Amino acid sequence: MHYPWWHVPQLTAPMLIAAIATIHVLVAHYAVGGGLFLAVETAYAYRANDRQYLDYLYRHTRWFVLLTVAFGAITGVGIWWTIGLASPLATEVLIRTFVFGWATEYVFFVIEILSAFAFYYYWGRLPEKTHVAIGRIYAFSAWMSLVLITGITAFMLYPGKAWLADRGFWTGFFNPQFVPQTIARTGGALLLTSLYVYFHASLAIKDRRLHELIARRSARPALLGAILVTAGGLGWYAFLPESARAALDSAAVLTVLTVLIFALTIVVFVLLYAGPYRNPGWLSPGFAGTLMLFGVAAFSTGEFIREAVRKPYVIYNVVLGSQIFPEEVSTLRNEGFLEGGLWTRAFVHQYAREHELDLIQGGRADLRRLVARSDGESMKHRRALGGVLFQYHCNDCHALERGYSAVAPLIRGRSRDAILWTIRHLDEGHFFMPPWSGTDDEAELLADYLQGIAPPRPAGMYPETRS
Amino acid sequence: MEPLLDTTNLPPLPAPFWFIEFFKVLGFSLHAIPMNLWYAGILVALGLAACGSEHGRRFAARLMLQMPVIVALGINFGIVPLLFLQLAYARAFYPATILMAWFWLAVVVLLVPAYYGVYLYAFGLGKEGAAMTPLKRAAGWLSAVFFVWIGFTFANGLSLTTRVERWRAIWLEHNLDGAATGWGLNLSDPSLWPRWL
Repeated sequence: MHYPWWHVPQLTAPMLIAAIATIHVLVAHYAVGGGLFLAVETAYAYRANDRQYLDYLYRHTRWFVLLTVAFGAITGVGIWWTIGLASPLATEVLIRTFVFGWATEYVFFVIEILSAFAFYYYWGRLPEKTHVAIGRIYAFSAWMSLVLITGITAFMLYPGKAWLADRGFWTGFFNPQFVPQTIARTGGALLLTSLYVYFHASLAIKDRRLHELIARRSARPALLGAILVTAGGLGWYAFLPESARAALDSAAVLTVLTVLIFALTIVVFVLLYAGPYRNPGWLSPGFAGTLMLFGVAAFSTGEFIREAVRKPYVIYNVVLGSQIFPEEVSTLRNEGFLEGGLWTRAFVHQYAREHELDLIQGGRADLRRLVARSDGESMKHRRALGGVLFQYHCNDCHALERGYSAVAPLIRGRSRDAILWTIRHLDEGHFFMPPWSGTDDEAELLADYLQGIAPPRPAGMYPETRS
Repeated sequence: MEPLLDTTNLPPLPAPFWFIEFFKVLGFSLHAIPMNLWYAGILVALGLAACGSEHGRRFAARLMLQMPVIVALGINFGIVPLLFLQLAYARAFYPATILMAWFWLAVVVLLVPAYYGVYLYAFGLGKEGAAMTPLKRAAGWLSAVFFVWIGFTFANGLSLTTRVERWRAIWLEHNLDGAATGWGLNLSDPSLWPRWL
């Protein structure tokens, strides 16, 4: 527990990761599939000597480079930025394990940037074969960067027993989730690209022939993408750790979202089939925009589900949401969660000094002394230290009084005994919560804190005659 | 006083330390070249475009036309040193940046308009500058300011990484129940200003 916790009001710090990551994937998948689209379609346009189509592809490339090289790249870096702030221990573990995977991904980024710029800026000035070859180099490099990052994000969901034994790069990279997620993301890249292409074409082209050409030519990749996403998604489900699969049934929001993602995927299939595949002339901005919205909704839903089922872990079996290793839990239950972290310990000792509490014995905080007191002043101190426990043990997933999975509304009206029981049996009450990692005294302090912020039971729920 | 940094029992590194240091330094040197081109270069170019001679204005236009590529490569080259810095110095780097989390996160938020501002300005240089508008010129100036602010943020973050003794005061001033609220800066460090400037 070497790191301070970052308190982000209402959202919680990890939800910032979610927000930036969702925005990023909605562009990044296009960065991958779009490269393939441009390489394949430019080759086709050269072969068919279709100058009008080439002119459109040039304009599309400009839009593509502007969006993916700038916004796509920076939001990707943004994820890296945010995970170091919101989840430093997990980031430390991931970097130590996969630094050369990321370094390799970086090499592909350099190739992507150089080839993207060359593809655009030398348009019309290169022999056709060379131009197409550069497009293919871009497409391959972009796909490789997808493969590399997917190995790492898939690892977070399920490192696999082999990695837990040897902690090596290759065993970690080729984890049980790697293949299904790579298939899903490759399909997602194809699918999302088609949606972007349709939308862009519907706005940028007025020529009917070109509309229909694009609609026809991108329909099959889109349908293939949708099939791969579905296949990858089913593979993701099949290779989930047991608790992750159970979480889908156990949390109402996840059950609803799972149904929703099926429904959205079916809608996208139907719209693709009825639209660009059977009726290429339907490609208006309204239709393409609607299709895009459904696709974006399906993607975002999928990413939320994928992340949420990992709870209580940030890296499954390796780093808990409370920013500790599972091996530390039993030590912390004996020695104290607060004493077990540099920052929590420093805060408690500082607090004891400032308020002249006689807590420190032999260099350690003896919280029993505070728990045993029953005067009015002591409740203020108990809640203050309970607040530290909340920030470091719980704020990873729970906002305070309002916001994301806010804890106060969750426990409103509960008796102190009920709150205390919940704390002491945290992972028994909900298997997707981390185990309580503090002493009995610390549980008392946290119970005082939680009771202090929880509103009372809502009034008027039962008639007066209820005994 | 209770320590906020504990370098005992460091986990093993996946490569020899000299290897990590070498690529961190090499990577930063490669990053520093395009980075200085945009950090000082955008300001110089905009100044020359406003008040320079004909030669100066031509130089400024040539530099700014290349700036989108320079920025793309320079941001990319920044990945290597930052990656190896985090690998070798996680226990110092993460706490320092968490203490100034909102400012640190703002780097990424500001980088988007800074980058696109450079593109907008470069578009304005088309047709030998005939396409320039007040909006595109303003975008260029905004980029310059944002890049300088981003540099200031980096100077804070990296100087705070090395000044462990400053952490406590900043943390105690910006915390909620011991959790950092992320509004700290290393302003009272005398090395910050020459480092940034």
